[in-house]
Amino acid sequence: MVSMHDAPTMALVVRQDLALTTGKIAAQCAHAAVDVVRAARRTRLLERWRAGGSRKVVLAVEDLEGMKELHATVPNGCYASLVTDAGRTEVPAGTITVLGLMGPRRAMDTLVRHLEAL
Amino acid sequence: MGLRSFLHRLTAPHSTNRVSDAPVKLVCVVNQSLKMGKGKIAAQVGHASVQSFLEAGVSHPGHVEAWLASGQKKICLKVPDESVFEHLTEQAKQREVPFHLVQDAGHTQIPKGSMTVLALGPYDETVLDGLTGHLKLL
Repeated sequence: MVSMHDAPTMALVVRQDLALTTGKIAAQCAHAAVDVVRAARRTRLLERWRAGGSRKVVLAVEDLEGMKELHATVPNGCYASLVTDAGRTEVPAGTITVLGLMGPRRAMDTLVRHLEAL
Repeated sequence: MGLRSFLHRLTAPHSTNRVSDAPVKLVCVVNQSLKMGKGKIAAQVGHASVQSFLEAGVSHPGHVEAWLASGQKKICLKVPDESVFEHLTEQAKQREVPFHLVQDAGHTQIPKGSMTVLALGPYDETVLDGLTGHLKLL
């Protein structure tokens, strides 16, 4: 069992400028979470993440630019996945809504330090 | 596709649990009585979806494959309290629908052991609509 202290972390970063409803945010975050898990499949990181209680945080980023900056600075050893909405409901098709991230606890803490919890 | 997965695909037995090509979706049912914030709800729904997806990958690989290929359709619904979860999980078991009920670890916001979200699927949309069609959108 990996302790909570150093367990790998998933971060789901939500764009604030789209003003999505709670249900939409939840669905998009679920999509991001599933995609990041798939991106990290068959890795030791994913095993440790699951063994450590699937730690995850949901954070807010101001707009698309902030999200792209964050996406561009994801370090080696971390996994990232951008969710593009299919446009069936609140936002136009192709809108990027959530950035899913997974990585070692310390790398993730550094990466998202400047973001606030949603 | 790598060589190993290519060989695996050639030699693996076809999954037999999915016979039709009916649309597939994942449903997340959120317990409203806990008054969770939207970030908390998103994290719990994310957790439920990942768990149900991974477990269904073993028990219902055909459904999961179809779900991924069709854009991971999912929908979030709400129930007033956790009493509905028992009935829904019973129904899911009877119909062999994969599901995952999240009990919170109690690190933030709510008491340990609270039942926060029930994920159902990925499974045939018509079956899930039969189970959850009466519930309201989150």
